[in-house]
Amino acid sequence: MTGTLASRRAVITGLGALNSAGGDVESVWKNVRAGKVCLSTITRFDTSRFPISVGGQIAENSATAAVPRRFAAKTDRFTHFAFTAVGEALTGANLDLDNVDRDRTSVWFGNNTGGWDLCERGFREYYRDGADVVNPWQATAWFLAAPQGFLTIRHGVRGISKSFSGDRVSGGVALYYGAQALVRGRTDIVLAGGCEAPLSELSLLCFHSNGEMSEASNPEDAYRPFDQHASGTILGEGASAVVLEDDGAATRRGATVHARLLGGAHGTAPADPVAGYAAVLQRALAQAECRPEDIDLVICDGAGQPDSDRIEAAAIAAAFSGRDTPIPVTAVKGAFGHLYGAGFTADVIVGCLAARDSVIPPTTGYRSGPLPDGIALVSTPTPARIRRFAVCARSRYGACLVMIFASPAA
Amino acid sequence: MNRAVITGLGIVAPNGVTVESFWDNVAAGRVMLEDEPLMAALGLKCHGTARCHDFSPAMLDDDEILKEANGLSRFVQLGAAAARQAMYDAGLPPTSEPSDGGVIFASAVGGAPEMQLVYEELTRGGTSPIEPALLPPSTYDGIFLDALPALFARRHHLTGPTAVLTTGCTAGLDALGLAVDLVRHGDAPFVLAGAGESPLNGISYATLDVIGCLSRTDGPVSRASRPFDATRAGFVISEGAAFVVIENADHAADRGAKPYAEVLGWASTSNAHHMTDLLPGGKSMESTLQLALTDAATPASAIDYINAHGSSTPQNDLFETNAIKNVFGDLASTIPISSLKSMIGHSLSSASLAAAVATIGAMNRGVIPPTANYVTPDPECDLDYVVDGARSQAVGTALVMASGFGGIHTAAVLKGLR
Repeated sequence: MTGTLASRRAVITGLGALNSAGGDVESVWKNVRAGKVCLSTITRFDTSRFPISVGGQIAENSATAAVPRRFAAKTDRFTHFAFTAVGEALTGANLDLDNVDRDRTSVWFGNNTGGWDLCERGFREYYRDGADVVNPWQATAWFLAAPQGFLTIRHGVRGISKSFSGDRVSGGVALYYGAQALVRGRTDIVLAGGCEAPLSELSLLCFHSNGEMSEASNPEDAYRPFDQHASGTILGEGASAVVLEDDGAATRRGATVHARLLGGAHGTAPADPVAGYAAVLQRALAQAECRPEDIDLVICDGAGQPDSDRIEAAAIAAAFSGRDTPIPVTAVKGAFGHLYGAGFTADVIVGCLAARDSVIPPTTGYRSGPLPDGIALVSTPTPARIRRFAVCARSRYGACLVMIFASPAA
Repeated sequence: MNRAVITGLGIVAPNGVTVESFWDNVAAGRVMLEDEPLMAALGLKCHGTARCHDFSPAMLDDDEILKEANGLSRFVQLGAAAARQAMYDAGLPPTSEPSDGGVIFASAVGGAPEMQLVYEELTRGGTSPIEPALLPPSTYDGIFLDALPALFARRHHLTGPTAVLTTGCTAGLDALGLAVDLVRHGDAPFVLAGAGESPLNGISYATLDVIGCLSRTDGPVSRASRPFDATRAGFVISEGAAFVVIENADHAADRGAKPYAEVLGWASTSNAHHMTDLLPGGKSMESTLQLALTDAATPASAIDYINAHGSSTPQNDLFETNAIKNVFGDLASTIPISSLKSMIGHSLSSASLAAAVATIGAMNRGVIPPTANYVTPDPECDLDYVVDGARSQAVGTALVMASGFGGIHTAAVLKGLR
C-alpha cells in the first residue's frame, strides 16, 4: 500500500472511451463538444417492426479492433468494448502494469444487460441444434461480470475486483465503489468504468418494456433531454474507462492527472424522488467539502424522459439553491445515447475534458423546455473556467449517485 | 472504524425456508438433490438439481411487497422472502420512519430463466425468428437485477446506498463484504445484504453442462454432489436466497439488538488465470485467505471451522484443499471443513451466503455441519471434511470461502456472539 490511509485520494490518470460518437476519447470529445448527434437508425438487424429503431451504434470493425485474437471468439460484444476502452485508458495513463503491484491492481466495472448478442445466438443454436451442442463459451461470455473476468485475465491483475448492475447508474456505482476501495486501502490502482451492448433484438424489446425508451424514428430528434418534446431514452452501445490511482503514487511516477476525486455520495430516494435525489447531491457536496457555489458544472443523467428529467432538474435546483447564480448544467448523452453501464463514466470523462479545454459541451438535443429557476441548462458550447464539476445520475429504482471532481489546476 | 455485526438472518433454501429449519436440516445432513427430467430430455450429462419446494409467494406475507414481487422473476421472489425474514429477525420491520440503511443485493444470472421464456414466446418455442411484441414492464424489472433493493428501500424507507453485485458465484459473500465496508466507514448504520438465484432453466443447464461443470456421476441423483470425494465429477445446480443484516455494532447496541456474529474481516482477489479453470496449487485462494485473516486481524490459529466452497468439481475441491494447507500449515488437518453443496447443490450467488448462515448456525448451536455423500477418500484431498455426520463442537471463529466464474475468490472471517 502506498501512502497512509488518511492521505489517500483517488485521481484519474487515464481515459478511454468508445461509443457511437467516436472510437477513442478525443474523437468522442470532439463530437460531444460540438453537440453533434451521433445517433443513427439501427442497422445491426432489421428494426422495421421493432418499437425502437434509433440507437448509438458502433461500427462492426471498430468494435473488435482492440480485442486480441485469443479472446475474440470467447467474448461477447460488451466485453469487446470494454477491452477497447480499458486499453486506451491504460495507454493514455502511460501505466506499464509490469511496473506496478498486480496484486493491488483491480477492475471495477458496471453493466446492466449482459452479453445478449451472444445469448441470442445461443438461444437460436439451442432450439435449432440441440441443448447438448450449445456454444461452450456462452456460460462465461454472457454473464454480467464477464468483462471484469476477461479484463483481469487480459491484464493479469489480481487485486479486488467487482462488477455491478444498476439500471442507469450501473457503471457509476462501480466507479464510486472502486474509488472507495482505493481510498480505503483495499487496492492501489483501479481500472474502472463500464460497458453496454444493448442493441440486439431481444434486449431492445426488454428495454422497451420499461416504458422509458423513445420510439422516435428520426435520429436527429430522437433523444432530447429536458426538451419539451423529449420522448424517452435512446440506447447507445459502448464502453468507458478510467484509470484511478492514489494521488501520491501518481505524482511520484509523474503521471498526468485529469481530475482529482473530491468526494461523492450514493443513496436512495425511497419516497419523494426530488427530495431524495437532492439530499444525495447535498451529501456529496458535504462529503467533498464543497459549497454549492464551488461547483462550476453539473453533468447530469438526462434520461430524456419528461418525468425523469423534471425530477432531476428539480433535485439539482434544490441542492444548489444556495448559489447567487444559476448552476450550469449539461447532459451530453444526446450525442451517443444512454450507455447505461458506460454512461456515468462517459460523463466523468467529458467533465475532465471540459475542464481541460475550459468549455461546457451543450445538452445535445435540447432546444427549449421548462426548467426550474436556478438551473442554467447549457445548450450551446460555452467557454467557462471549470475548477470543480459534479457528475450525477439516478436509476429507475431511485438509486442516486453523485461524484465531485476537481480539475488538476484547481 | 466501526465494528460490523450480523443482527438478522434470512434463508430460502431447498432444505429450509426458515433459519431454524435450515439449521436443523444442515446439521442432519439431509440431502435435497432430486432428478431434473428436463436435463434428461435435453440430452445433458447431468440430471440433478435442488429446488426450494417449500417456498411460496405467500411467505412474503406483506401486501405491498407481494404486489410488486408477484409479477417478477423467481430469483426476486426467493430473495424478497429471505430479505424480509432477515429484516424482521433484526428487529427492523417495515416502517415509514426514514433511516440511512442500505441494501446490497447479488445475483449471478438474475432473470435468465424468465428471459428464456420471453424468447420462447417471441419465437414460437424457438422455431421462428424473433417476432417483435410489446412486453409488460415486469419484463425489464424481472430480467435485470435491480428491482429487489428498490422494493426494500421503499418498504423500509431506506435512504442509504442500494446496489447490486453481479460477481457470479462469489457475489453473495461480496455483498456481505461491501456491506461490511459501508458499515465500518459509517456510510450506513445497517445494510441488508443478500443474494437470490433461480437458474433452473434449459439454457443455464445446457451452457454449464457443455463445459463439464455439472455433475457427471452415475448412480442415484442424491449422490450427484460429493465434495472432496475421489469420484466427484461436478456440481449440482440449485436455487435459493440468503440475506444478512450487517450493522454497526454501536447502532445495534443502542437499539438493543443482539448480534449473532461479528464479521471480523473479508477479502477478495482475482486469479487472472482463467474464467473457470483453477490451478491445483491453490495459490489465488491462499492469498485471499491470508488477506481476509489480515483484514480480520485474526491469526490462522484462531479458526475453528471452515465452511468451504466445496463445489464437488474435481479442480475446485483440490484447489481449496491446497489453499487451506498452505495457509494453515500443520493446523490444516485439525480444522473441520464442510460443504453445504453436498446437500443443497450450488445456488451460484446465494451459495456463499447460505454458507455464512449455516456457519452462524454452527456457532449458535455448537454443531458443525457434515459434508454429505462422501464415500471414497481422495489421497490429494486429505483434510477433515466432517464426513461422518454432524459434530458437536464449539465454534468461536470461522472462515467462509467462495470461488466463481471470472476467476474471483472471496473469503470472510466470522466470530460468533451468541
